[in-house]
Amino acid sequence: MQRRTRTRGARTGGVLIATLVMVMTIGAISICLLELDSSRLKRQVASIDNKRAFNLAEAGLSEAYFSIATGESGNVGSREAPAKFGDGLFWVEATEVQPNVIGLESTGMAGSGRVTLSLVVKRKPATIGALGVMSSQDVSIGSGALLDAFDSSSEADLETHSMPLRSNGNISVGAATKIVGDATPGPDGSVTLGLLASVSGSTAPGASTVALPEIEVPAIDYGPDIVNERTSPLDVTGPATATGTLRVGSGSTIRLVGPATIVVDQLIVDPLGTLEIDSSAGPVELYVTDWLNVQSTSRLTFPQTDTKGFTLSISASGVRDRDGDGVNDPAVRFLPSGDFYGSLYAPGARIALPVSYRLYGAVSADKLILGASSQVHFDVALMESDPSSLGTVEMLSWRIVDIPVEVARDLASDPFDILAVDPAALESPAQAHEDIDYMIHVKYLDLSLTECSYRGSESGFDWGQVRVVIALVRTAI
Amino acid sequence: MSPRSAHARSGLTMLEALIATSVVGLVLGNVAMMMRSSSSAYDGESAKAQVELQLDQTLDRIVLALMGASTDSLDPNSSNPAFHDRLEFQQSLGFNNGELMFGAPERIELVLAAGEVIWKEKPDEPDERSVTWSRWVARFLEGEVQNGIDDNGNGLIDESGLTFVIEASQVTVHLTMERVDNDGTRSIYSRAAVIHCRNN
Repeated sequence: MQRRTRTRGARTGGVLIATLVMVMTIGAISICLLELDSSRLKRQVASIDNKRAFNLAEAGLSEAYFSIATGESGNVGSREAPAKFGDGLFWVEATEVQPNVIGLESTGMAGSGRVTLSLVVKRKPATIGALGVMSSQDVSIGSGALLDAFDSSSEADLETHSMPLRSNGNISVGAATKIVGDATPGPDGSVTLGLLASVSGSTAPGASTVALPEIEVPAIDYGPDIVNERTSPLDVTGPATATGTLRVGSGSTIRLVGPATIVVDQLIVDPLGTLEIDSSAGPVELYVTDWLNVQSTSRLTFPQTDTKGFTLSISASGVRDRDGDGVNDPAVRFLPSGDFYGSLYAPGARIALPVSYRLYGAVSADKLILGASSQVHFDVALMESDPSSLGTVEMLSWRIVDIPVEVARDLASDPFDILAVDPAALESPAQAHEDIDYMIHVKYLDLSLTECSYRGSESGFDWGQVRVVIALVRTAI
Repeated sequence: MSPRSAHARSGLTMLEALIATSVVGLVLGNVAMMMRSSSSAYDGESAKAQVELQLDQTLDRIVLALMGASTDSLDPNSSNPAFHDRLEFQQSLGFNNGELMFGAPERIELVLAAGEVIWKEKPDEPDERSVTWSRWVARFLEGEVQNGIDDNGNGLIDESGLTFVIEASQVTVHLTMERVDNDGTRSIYSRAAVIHCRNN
């Protein structure tokens, strides 16, 4: 027995050990290869997750961009309730950096990927006319005035159109003045009504101030001054003209013939002079950079009553002696007779419409004064095809920024777990836009084809009852 | 019986010893070959993985850097069919006090002699900062040789291993990396990316 045991012991030796060593070595190499493959896979997954997160953040910026273009705040979802998109999520935080300049930060999360992108955009009105009747400071309306709205592009007639009168300060309404629409003062402002004055819509203050966009004066080579002091009319034709002074002498006429873009430093219409705007062949865009002096008893005439045919943009500002007579002159003196058709815009100057003056179109200024018995008929057609559109958006800056600390802590976990949200309960990107209500005025045929109209908050309106929309005006509250 | 039998089995004949030695030799040889091929496969795969990883990482870095760049700051900015093996640019830093802010000039360039992609901040200035983003960059793009013709059919002639092609606000980056193993095996990988500079 002892010998047998010894023999067995002698046979269990080197070969087994050597085999084991070899197997272990091969196993170790196999494990290394597997590890190598696994780490490559992990890196690839991480890279793919980061790219997905990046695309989600970009999608968030797109949503926010669209949101701002349609007059909303730019906020889409929130960290507590992000928007779900595919297997990931995103949310966008909008901050007003300065008036009309909005900073957007979009955070996208997918798997282990997290990316935050920043976009700064500038909100610009689609047209100057789309601003409606607007003043950066107070608005003062004389007694017996009328402010309402109409639609020059539509046969359909609303009983009352929305008149977008807005101020960043106070609105003072004279006795017996009638405003058919809303009068919206600034956030800290108020509306003061004179005896028998009325505002058919809301007088609630605006949520924020609205900055009038700067005028971008076209760069055109200057020609000689244009002066007409003879009785025969003088035509100024396009497509582009620039001059230091355009002066209409007393009893003379200058006709601006569209399509034309005209830049003048000083536009002077002497008493009994006539400035005629001929937009029969195309619109006239007139830029005044230093002084608009349309004197009393002069005339502004419009053979065509197309409000889109004339835009008068005045970039002049300040009070100084502009004609060398030793007396300071305001940047704008606007005292013509005759009805005005078009958009009148002076973001840096005060505009005072004369007594009993009638303006069809839109008017915005740094400070706005409407004379007694004047009439301003805002043309909603100036808001272009989409009345809800408040403007276009210009991109200023794009960059990648640090991801928020709270979501950077754990890169391995599922983003839904990290934010403690239920994927099934999250909204889609389109639904996750910050709620914003609109004031609408709609004329429509209901399901029984009966003509009806509604004016008020859109959230309170049942669109299910509408079969055909005849006319619609929508403005953001 | 038992003691004698056991004693008789305890020895090996010469023939048995030779056969046993041969078998063990064969087994050990096979194992050694297998280990060597495994090790070689590991080294090869590892090297390829490194090249691929560096290629992806380098291209991602270039993409992210140029994405935030201002189109106006691209230098040189001559368009397709011109191409460049270096590109200078400035990235947007955002909006501050009503003004757009841009960062210090940056440059991504290929150092041919070393086969390296180098990123520089404030290039050619005393306080220049420089980081090597990648090695193993090929002298020419994959399929291209220096002969004055477009060998790889991408519209560029004799382009280098890192090539920037500019078209308006769009930059196409081509990158080829090449590594030769100890056993002389060449691993060549190429990638391209089209980047739209987001800032004007």
